This record gives sequence, C-alpha cells and structure tokens, in this order.
Amino acid sequence: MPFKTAQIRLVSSHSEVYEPCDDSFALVDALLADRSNLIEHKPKFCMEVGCGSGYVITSLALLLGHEFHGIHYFATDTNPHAVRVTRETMEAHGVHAELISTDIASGLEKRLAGLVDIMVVNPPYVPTPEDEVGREGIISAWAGGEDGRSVIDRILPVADNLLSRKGWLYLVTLESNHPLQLCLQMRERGYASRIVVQRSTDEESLHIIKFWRNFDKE
Amino acid sequence: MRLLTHNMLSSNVKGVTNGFPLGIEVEKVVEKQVELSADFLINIFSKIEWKALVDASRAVGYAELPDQADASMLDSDEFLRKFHHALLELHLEEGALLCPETGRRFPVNKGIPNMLLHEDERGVSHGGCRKSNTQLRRIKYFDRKTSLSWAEQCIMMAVDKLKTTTSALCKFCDCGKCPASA
Ligand SMILES: C[S@@+](CC[C@H](N)C(=O)[O-])C[C@H]1O[C@@H](n2cnc3c(N)ncnc32)[C@H](O)[C@@H]1O
Repeated sequence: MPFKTAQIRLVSSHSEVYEPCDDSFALVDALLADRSNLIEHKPKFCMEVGCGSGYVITSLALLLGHEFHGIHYFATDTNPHAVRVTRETMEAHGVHAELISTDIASGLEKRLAGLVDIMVVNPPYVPTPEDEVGREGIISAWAGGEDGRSVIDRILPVADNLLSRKGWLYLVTLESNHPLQLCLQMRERGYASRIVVQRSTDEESLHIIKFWRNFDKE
Repeated sequence: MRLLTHNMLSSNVKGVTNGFPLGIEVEKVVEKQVELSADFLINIFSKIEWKALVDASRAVGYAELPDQADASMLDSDEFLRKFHHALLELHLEEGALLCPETGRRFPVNKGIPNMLLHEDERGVSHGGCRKSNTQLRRIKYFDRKTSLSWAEQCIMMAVDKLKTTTSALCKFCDCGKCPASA
C-alpha cells in the first residue's frame, strides 16, 4: 500500500500550535522520496526537534515503522502545548515517540550524543526582529531572527553532536536563510549535503537539505 | 516517559557538572506492551548506564533487574525480557525528575518531562506575546513581504482584518492535503 501523507489526521489542535503547512508537507515529501534509503538505513533512533503538531514525526514513524521493529523516536518542542498535541497525533496513529518539552535537545545532549541516526527539523526560519525569537506562544513557531538563522544556527551544532556516524539530518530552510552558506558551514564540520526538495510557493522558496557525514574526503 | 528516556536525560540547569542520573518522584506508572527486538537490546546495551536503569526500575516498582550486568548475559532470553520490560514497557506517566545536584524538580505530566528552564537558570531572556494562530500566521506572511515592525504589522492587521476573509488567510494551504484547504 503506498504511503500517503494525507493519511495523517489531525486529531487534536491548539491555537498556539503550528498547523502543518507547505513547509511541513515539503519535509514529509522529502522523507517519502527517500523512503527506500531510510528503510535501508536501519535507524535505531530517530528524532525531531520542534515537533509542533506531530505531523512530521508521525509520518516518519508510519513510513518506517511498518517495515521493521526496534526503531525508537524522540521529539522535542519548547512549546508544551505542541508536545501534548504531538502525543495525541501519534497515539491516534498507533505510533509512539518519547516526548520532551525542552529547548532543542537540552538535557539529552550528554547521553544521546552519537546515537541519533535520523534527525528531522522544520525550524522557525522566518526572518524577524531578533527579539521575537523564542517568545512564548505560536510566534516561536516561525520567528527566526536575523536571516531566519537564529534557531537554525543553534540547532546545527547540537545535531552534529547527536548524530551517529551514519546519521542523517533533514532540514527545512528558506531562500533567505542562505541554504548554500549553511551547506558550506556544515562541510567544515565534515558533512556532505544535497538539496532533496526545492519548492516555491507564492511567498517562499523552500529547500529541504539532507546532511550526512562525509568520510570519503579524509 | 520510558526508562530509556530517563537513561538518556541529564539535568540541564546551568552550572551543574554531574546532572546524571535524575532522581525519580513517582505518582503514576503505566505499563504498555511493545514487541521485543533482541537486535535493538543487544545494540543499545553498551550505551545504557546499568545502575541508573536498575535504580529507576526499582523506583517505579520493578525489582527484577540484576544489580550487575555484562554483555554475556545478552545470550539469555530471560535477561533480554527483563531488560526490555524495564527499558521500554514501564512509563512514568505522572511524577517528576530531580536534578541530583540542585534538587531542581522537572515535572512529568502525561508522560512528558518538562526540561524547560526558567530565565535565571539559563540566563536568556524570553518575551511573551500571545496572539491567535490565524492572526500570527498572517503576520508571518507579511513579514516576508515587508520590513514593517511588529507594532506596525499589528496595526495594519487590525485595519485589514475587516476586509480579509478566511479563504484568503488559507491561500497558502491550497495543497488539498491539509485541513485548512479541505
Ligand atoms: C515551523 S514549526 C514546525 C512544526 C512541525 N514540525 C511541522 O513541520 O509542522 C517550528 C516548531 O519548532 C518549535 N521551536 C521553536 N524554537 C524551538 C527550540 N528552540 N527548541 C525546540 N523547538 C522549538 C516551535 O514551537 C514549533 O512547534
């Protein structure tokens, strides 16, 4: 049976939780397009930072979970309402993630280091004044500060720390986040990258970038 | 929250040098069966702090794990079953986690630990501004078009509000997939 993103029902919502939108769909489409590689990858731990409604992590769990067992999911968000909605979304689809209300992966960085095989992130990426970043409520779902990079720039070193040797990161970015510059920055940390989905809507040009550790270079 | 997660969490309070393992305050524990994957257990064994798992499982009322364990025990089905049960099937549903150094309490509600820190524990300022989802969604799109300040956008939005219909608000979700476009 082919997997359809439209299968994800939103069973729960909250006025302060980001509803799945073009960016969420683009990320899930990227995962779908990479589905056979993801299955082949045999991840043990998958993680989403900024899970919002749970749309992405639920899709990932459905996409992988049917194939084999022994995969575990973690998801975090700074918005406790979002984490609760994610719990309900996952339960309604018969999948499970360990959920934590926290800033990026704060609290997990020590013990989960090097264990995450798949990380997915649809960060707050919209360029806004810096003082709008990390506010309480729905604004933190997109407020990304200068060039929309404030949160992204904090996530990347954490991702580098958490990802396993074979770890992959899928990141949603906007043209104004300077995706190529992000790729170059990650290259300095030893990552190769590829834009796996590029999508333009009236308002935004989205790039989903996949990063993986590049051992060939050495 | 599974004990696996307890085994992966440390106190994140600023200045704490040894935040692991977190203490456990139990109000409610639930058991949920999951299929056992020997591969997973064998793989993860070396990453688990055994004593922390033993103590946590005792705290939630399961006393079957041996005090000591080494990789040779992974050959035993009985050991794998107990390890699996403690690591993945026992959930701390209500209660709290406690920082071993400062005693800071991290509440666990509906199985979700809250590791968010107050300002004085992390030293980063957090503002507060609550608006409805739809209102702010619109501002999100305004932001990309214009370089108006937050306040100007709020005013513009208020003026504009009367004129704007819901369908216009949802025009970015004409994907046919999401509830907004349905
Ligand atoms: C663009 S929304 C994406 C939501 C969902 N993943 C999706 O694709 O529909 C970004 C999410 O990141 C969360 N967030 C913002 N800053 C964060 C941080 N520092 N740590 C963790 N989550 C954060 C927001 O609360 C919001 O739920």
